[in-house]
Amino acid sequence: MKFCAVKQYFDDENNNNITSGASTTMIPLPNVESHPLAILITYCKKHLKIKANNADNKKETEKEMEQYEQELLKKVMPQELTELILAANYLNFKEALDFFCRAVASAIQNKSIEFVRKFFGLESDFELGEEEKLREEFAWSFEGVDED
Amino acid sequence: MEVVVDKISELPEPLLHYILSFLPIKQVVQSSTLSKRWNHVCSTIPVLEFDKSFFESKLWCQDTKETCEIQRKKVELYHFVEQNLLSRRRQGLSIKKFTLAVCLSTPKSVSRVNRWIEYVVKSDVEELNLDFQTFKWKWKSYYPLPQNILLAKSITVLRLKACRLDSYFGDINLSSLKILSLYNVGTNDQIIQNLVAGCPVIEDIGIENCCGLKCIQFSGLPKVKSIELKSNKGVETVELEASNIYHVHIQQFEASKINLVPCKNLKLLMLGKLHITDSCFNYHISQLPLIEYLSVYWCDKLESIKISSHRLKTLHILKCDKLVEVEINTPKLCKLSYLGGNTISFSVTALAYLSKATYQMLHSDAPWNVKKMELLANLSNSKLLELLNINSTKDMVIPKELRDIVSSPSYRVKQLKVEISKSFTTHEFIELVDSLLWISPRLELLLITYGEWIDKNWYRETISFKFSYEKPILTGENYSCCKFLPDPCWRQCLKSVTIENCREPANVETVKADKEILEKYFYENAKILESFQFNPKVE
Repeated sequence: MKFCAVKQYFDDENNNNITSGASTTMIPLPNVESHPLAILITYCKKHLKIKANNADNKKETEKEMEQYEQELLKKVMPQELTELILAANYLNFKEALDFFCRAVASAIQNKSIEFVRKFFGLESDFELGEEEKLREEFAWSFEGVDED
Repeated sequence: MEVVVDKISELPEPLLHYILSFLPIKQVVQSSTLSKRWNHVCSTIPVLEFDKSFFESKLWCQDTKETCEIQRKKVELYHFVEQNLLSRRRQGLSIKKFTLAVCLSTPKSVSRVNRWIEYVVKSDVEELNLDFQTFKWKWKSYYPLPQNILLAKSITVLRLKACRLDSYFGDINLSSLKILSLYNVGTNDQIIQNLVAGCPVIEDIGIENCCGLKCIQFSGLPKVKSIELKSNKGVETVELEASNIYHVHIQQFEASKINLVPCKNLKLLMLGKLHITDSCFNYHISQLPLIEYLSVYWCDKLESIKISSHRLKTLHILKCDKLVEVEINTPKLCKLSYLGGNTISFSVTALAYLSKATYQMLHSDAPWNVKKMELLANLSNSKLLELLNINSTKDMVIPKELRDIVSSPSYRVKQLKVEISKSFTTHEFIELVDSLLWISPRLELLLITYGEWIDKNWYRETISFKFSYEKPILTGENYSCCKFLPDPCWRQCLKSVTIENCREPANVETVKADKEILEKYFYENAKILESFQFNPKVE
């Protein structure tokens, strides 16, 4: 079940026996902004559609899903990835969370620290000399990194 | 340039850990120099994978000389692992996943690894993957697995490669273990039995390429869902009793005795390279009525088998060289695949209309004769038919004498896929198409895949033919081409042909010739043809 958090909300509602107008219930999602939510809903719908189309064929489902995911990544900015991860995490949407986390990881895989800093807009908050010390300690891990 | 605001560092720690778990550990170490927060995140990540990307094989390769430089690098890596594990113990951090892939060449390295494993086990590790990749073949010299692993209550997944598990007679208590995988492990029957018995919640067992086993017997495993036993030298007997098991795959070259009958809920069964007899096989099939997927391959003692099942959906019979008779009674069968000689006789009662049938011919097969046509007919009660591993187009051209005495074997096939190893000339192409259209006279889709060398590179090309039909006006005439068929064939009903992706555009002359000859062929032979489209490959 995707969007487990939402499902939970519905379950709670039924338990409290509030109204029968479930289709018009508004669910408050204070931690999710509208833009990432829209993307997640599209992702979810697409996933369910592909699954339904390829009922028996797991391989086909995976292949089609991969293609869709590649297309989606091209349209999403790195900044948005963080928001999407937060939204997927809040909504307890495992597949999307998995996908976006992997996407972030593959975006920085084997890239230099400078690249990663630029990519995330990270600034070092180390005191003078602290960073150098760390770099020296872990010098062996810096061998064999991609050119940016 | 747009200013990128750092949002990622604000993600909660578990999420950052999750993202980092997809990166090679060396990069995780690098990332600890990004900022104070990242330093903390990287040093507390619960996933530690010291695999081949960390312990680079070039440092341990047998050919590499032990220079000072190499020594220094090795020491740095060992030191890091040691420090990291120690620091976690001190902080009381647990480890979710620990992977170690390292070469053990000296007693010092053995005691080092023993120490690491002790730290890891004490850190309540859940998933433990150990690979002591070695260049040696004598399993007696493999790393002996330390006792504490077999008493670790926290382990849920255990994967061991290239180690020894044979001189161990103490208690085994892996109370959380769900997935067990042993690859290239030296062991014996008693220990394996004790090991499995010591895992009360085990669900998945995989034992492959191990030595020292003779008789594999598992019983009373209520939670097991899947067992795979493959290529373990010396195994003669396999007896499994697991009432809820779903999937069994046994590929054991010398095994002649198997007993899976107590596994009443078995749904997926794969039997490969076994020396079992017909009666053993037939008995099992009759006693396991819930099987939905059955694959039998390389079982060279089977001669005549009977498969009668109301649940079977997929059946694969591959290269059972002595097999001459197969009796199939499977009304729900959807997929059937056969690889073997054509002297076999398939007798089929209650075979449903399959969704896919695959026939892979042997190169040593006799050319087309009545028996082979019968075999093809028996395999062709399907919507999609695949003919694979065809050497050249000549192997698919049915001789005219045969066409006169036998009816089209695959007249119910709507989609035909043919895979040919070699390329062909225009003339061969036409002969092939003509023959295939005789084999399946009411095709909707024909796909011909072939391999071709272009500039020293091997390419696979697929040409597709789409056909659409219209009912012909019945003139009462008895057409010679479809006198054996229930419906009129393509020559009477073909309305349009669309051919796509025809050959490499570099081969302009061939493509042109293809188009001309095909157009001529179809217009001459299809009485009511209205449309012929030929779309060459777009670069």
